[in-house]
Amino acid sequence: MGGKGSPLTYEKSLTIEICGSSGDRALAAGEILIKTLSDIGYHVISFDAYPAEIRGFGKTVAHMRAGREFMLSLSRKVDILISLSDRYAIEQLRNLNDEGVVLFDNRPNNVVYEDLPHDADQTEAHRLGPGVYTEKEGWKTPTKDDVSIAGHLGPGMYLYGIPLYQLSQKTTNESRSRNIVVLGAVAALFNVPEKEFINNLTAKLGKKDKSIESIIAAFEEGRRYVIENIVKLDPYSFEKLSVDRKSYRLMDGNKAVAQAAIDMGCKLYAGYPITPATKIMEILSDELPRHGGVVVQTEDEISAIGHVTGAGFAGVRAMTATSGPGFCLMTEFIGYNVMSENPIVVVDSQRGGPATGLPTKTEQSDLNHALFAGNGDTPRIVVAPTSAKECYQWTAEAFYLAEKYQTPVIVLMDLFLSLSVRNVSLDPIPDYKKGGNKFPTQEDMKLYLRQKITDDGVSPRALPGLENGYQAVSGLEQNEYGTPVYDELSHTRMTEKRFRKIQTALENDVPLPQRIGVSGRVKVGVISWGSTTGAVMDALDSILKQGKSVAMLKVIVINPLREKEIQAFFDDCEKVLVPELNYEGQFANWLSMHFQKKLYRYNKVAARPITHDEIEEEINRLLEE
Amino acid sequence: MAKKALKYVIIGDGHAGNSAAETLRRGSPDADIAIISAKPTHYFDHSMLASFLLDKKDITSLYLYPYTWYKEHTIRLRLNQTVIRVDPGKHELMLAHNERMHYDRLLVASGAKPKLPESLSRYKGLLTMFTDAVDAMKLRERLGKLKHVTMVGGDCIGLHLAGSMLKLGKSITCILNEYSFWPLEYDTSVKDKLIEGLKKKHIEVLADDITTEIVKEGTGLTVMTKNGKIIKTDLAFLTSGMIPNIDFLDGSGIDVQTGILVDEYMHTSAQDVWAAGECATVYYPELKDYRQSTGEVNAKMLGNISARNMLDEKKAVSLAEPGKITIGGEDFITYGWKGFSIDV
Amino acid sequence: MDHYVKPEVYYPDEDIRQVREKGILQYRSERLPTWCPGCGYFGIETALTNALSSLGIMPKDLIIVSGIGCVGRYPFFVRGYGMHTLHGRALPVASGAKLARQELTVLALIGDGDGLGIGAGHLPHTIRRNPDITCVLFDNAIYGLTKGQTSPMTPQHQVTRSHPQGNPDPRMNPVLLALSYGATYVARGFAGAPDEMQNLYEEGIKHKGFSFIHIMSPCVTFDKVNYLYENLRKWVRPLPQGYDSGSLDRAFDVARGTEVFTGVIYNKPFL
Repeated sequence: MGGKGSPLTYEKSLTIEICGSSGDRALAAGEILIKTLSDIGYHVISFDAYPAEIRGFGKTVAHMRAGREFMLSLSRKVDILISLSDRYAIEQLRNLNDEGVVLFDNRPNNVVYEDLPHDADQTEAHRLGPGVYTEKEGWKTPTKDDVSIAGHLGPGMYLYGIPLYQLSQKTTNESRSRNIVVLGAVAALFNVPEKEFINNLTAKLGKKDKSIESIIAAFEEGRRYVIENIVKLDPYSFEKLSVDRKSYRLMDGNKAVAQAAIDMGCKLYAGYPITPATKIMEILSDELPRHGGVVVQTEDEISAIGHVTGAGFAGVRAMTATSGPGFCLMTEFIGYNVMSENPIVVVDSQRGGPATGLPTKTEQSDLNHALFAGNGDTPRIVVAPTSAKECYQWTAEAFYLAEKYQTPVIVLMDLFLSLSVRNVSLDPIPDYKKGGNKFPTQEDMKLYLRQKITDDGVSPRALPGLENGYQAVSGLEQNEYGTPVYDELSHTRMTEKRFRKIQTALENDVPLPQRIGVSGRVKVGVISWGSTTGAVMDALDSILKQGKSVAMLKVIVINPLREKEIQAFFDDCEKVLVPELNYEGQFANWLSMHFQKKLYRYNKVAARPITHDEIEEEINRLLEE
Repeated sequence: MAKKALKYVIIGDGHAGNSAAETLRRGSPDADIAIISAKPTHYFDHSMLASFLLDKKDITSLYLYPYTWYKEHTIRLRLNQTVIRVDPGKHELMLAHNERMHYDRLLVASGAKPKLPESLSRYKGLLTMFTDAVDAMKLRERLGKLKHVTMVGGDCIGLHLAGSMLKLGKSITCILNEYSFWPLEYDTSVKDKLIEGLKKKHIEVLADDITTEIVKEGTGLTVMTKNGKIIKTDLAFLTSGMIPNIDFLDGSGIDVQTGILVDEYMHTSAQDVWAAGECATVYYPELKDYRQSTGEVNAKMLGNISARNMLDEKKAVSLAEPGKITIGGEDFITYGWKGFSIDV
Repeated sequence: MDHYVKPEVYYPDEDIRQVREKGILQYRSERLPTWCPGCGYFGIETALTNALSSLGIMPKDLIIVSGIGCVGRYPFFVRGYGMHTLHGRALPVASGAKLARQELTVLALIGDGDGLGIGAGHLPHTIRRNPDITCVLFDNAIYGLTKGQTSPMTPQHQVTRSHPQGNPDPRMNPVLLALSYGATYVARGFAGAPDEMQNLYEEGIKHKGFSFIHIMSPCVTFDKVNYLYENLRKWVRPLPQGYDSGSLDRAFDVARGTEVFTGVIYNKPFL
């Protein structure tokens, strides 16, 4: 092996992809790799759904970024592409850096071709003849799987061949361990300590695979091959960092949401499977019963939110999670819970829309729906966490706010937040947030009024089981006594009350938005929401190092808005950039409803997260303009 | 209807291959052009070696063309990939990674590799070859620890390398004999003149001697010769001349002697296959004879001519202007080398 | 908050409150039912109240969930915890409440338009999940609250406001539907037979698991041809002596038959 390569700096965080077809276990390899990188002290984000074309039975790509410093977003380009299936990896080359590295199997089991034979004309196909030999089928005509990535690299990319198939056969008597052999090669090529690697291999595969020795042999063989045969020319390298990340756990946003539900005493989860929120239900199905809760897979999202509504009324913390199409079905119940002042938590992990849209692609285009869904005047609380850590924190907060203010709280995630795995350290939730209900006092109980009009807009709420706390809540407008009424006075007062309690929430429980960057007047200020904020923070990190006049405001609670602080930030900014992953600029529109400031919109419907490099370019463009 | 663009494949990422690629691209803007090389790195200009070793420059600055040039000209560079077989009948190549690759027209420009004398074959692991950028990078890594180097043989690459080593203040021993005298003609007048020149540059010369044994000793080597000389050295370069790198043509049916036999249009005996550079033995009408091609001047020129013929131009070869090598004030005429001087 | 004015006392009916406080009508709120005079739902309510009283279920432990329609108003008239939910959605909400608080008695009251029309999709799945709730279908075979449109229980060819040329579609068979999906307690009653109804409710509430009770009830305002008291009295008859409510085959026979039997059609005790 040749030169070691320079260790990573922040600017040179590395993005790695392991690409295979469904049987290649690329994702398993990715999991082990990202865990190992996390164990040696790197910040990591993995987002396996990143590539543009995921097919059910075809391509799978483990996509991860690792760097020394805290980061929240992905890079546009990939640095290292590991191919377990050249057919699919060829498509990934377009994202590879000009100096990127490709690892591939240089002794595949059968003959391969430069191009897909189905692209060739008839005579070409005839000429190729029965060119591929497989153990199962003998000689056969080549198919589109029989291609090699070797001829497709750009000039300046580094190609390293490792006999994955042969080494896998040699060590485990099967070709399925190619993913392990390649991890050994990665360890040697990029200086990832083998001890941590082997620990994670054992942890992941040791339980179900009795032949862990042969797995480790496969790993070692890949490592050995690289040390003995490969001249390392690329500049990429890791090293074991001396930082303590013991309190860090690898989790995606879905896991963070589920964990928050458990920790906040959620006792009922009802949901209908929908990408990308399904995993929340799967995790809770496994865990909630152990915490005295129950999970119901309902016949549709209406039933799911119905269950949550019933449980909320019964005085139990309950939640549902869905994505855009499912959220549409829940709309009527959102309004119902606003009207009946019932606490519910709804998580909407956004994906490309409208309608069924792009089920496996991320987008931030449900904001309008989250803010406005429902007929009539329907105030509700909408929060949009920006990272896995905040998914935990703000789902927990959602339970508290829903209960305290007797209102639907919508947690807006997106597919990127839901599915990207990061190493995070969770902040514990203060105990008082574990119970937020405003119970009636003895005074209240003299004549209990469920819809009592109060200064803060929150009525005392008796829960079933309490004598004389009787009530009939309704989707109809009611007066204080719970009688359905249709008069101007009652409707006005009750509507005001429902809005007033959201204002109370703003004053008491919505934190001030965090300002990051240069203080005082700045040339460009960025305000963003949801996962795009991660990209803005990463971009700002880099831009601030260049001493530019830039700041950002991190807004997590989208409704109610901290108008005063946002206005102050706008007053400080010469230009305000609002980047978001939707076409019409839903957040910018929302801000325009509240503020006069001219906004510079940056909108993408790219079917992937906005990357930090794109934001950086846009900020620089505005700075220079 | 427009003619379907042809697929040109060039084996070899050296002067010949790159010059051909450039000519092909100019002559056929739509053609699919690929260069295949077994080397892990892109070809670098050997005349820049000394400055690379001295100035700690990035290796990419020595490349013949920068990578962007290939991108702009949509020429594919397939580095680190070895051709193991050519099948002119099927117009196909077989690559070591089990890939069958089609071509319409093929240029073999695989160059030459260091010649390893039979007697030294068992010491292969102890000898340092100097052929590509990786070798240059490895050499630069070790450079600080080197005091003395030995040239096993006295070929032009070795002499050039010796020049660089001199500039770096290393002491040098050259072991010369008739087998290692390439590509200069070995005759007494040349030999004497060369020995004279080298000595003037304070290079120890063991003339008409042959390396018989090499032993590893600590971090260095001990080199023993037939005449009983024992040399303690840090590094022994194999500089005993080059032989065409054409093993992969075995079984292809292409006519080969020392190198690949080509006519004055650089065409081989196989249809749609041309050859150029140090792997080719070229028929020169002026000489009415074949001559083994050596050196970058020839490589560049022949690469260009083969490409023009591959583009159906019918362009015949002619002899290149001879080059001149200057050592210790003595001039030597070579064919195919641009020429260099180790006198500064 | 200057706009905040204390509510004028024009809501409660002081007399009714006194009645309630004296415990005369333990399960009745101060609000009087808004159903039309003569509506069959009064009978249903009375029977249900009596059943709760007879079973000793405390109002504090009672959640009554309804959807939209004439039956939807029911929770307003009850002293207890009530949820007047969305059109067709009583079953999911009731299920959620029961799953959250197993110790409570949860009733889901659905109508023929609400529970068999817009919300019919929930019925098979609630039956499958078998929560311990009691579902009463108030079937008046018409949309009453919206003044007389065709419901899924309106007989084919009947003229309604929405079908002046006659309802083109056949009616549903709720008992057969409930049996088909494996309901473990299926009963049918008639709003004009309060004692029988009370018994069906008591048995249904006691039944562990999902109980489905179909009550046929006249809409005196918008149905002048079909579910009239005199018609229903003519049609319904109690299940024959010795009927085995443990037999699913017999239950299906009853459900598919042309005769309208009332009583506990199927009751498979929870094992």
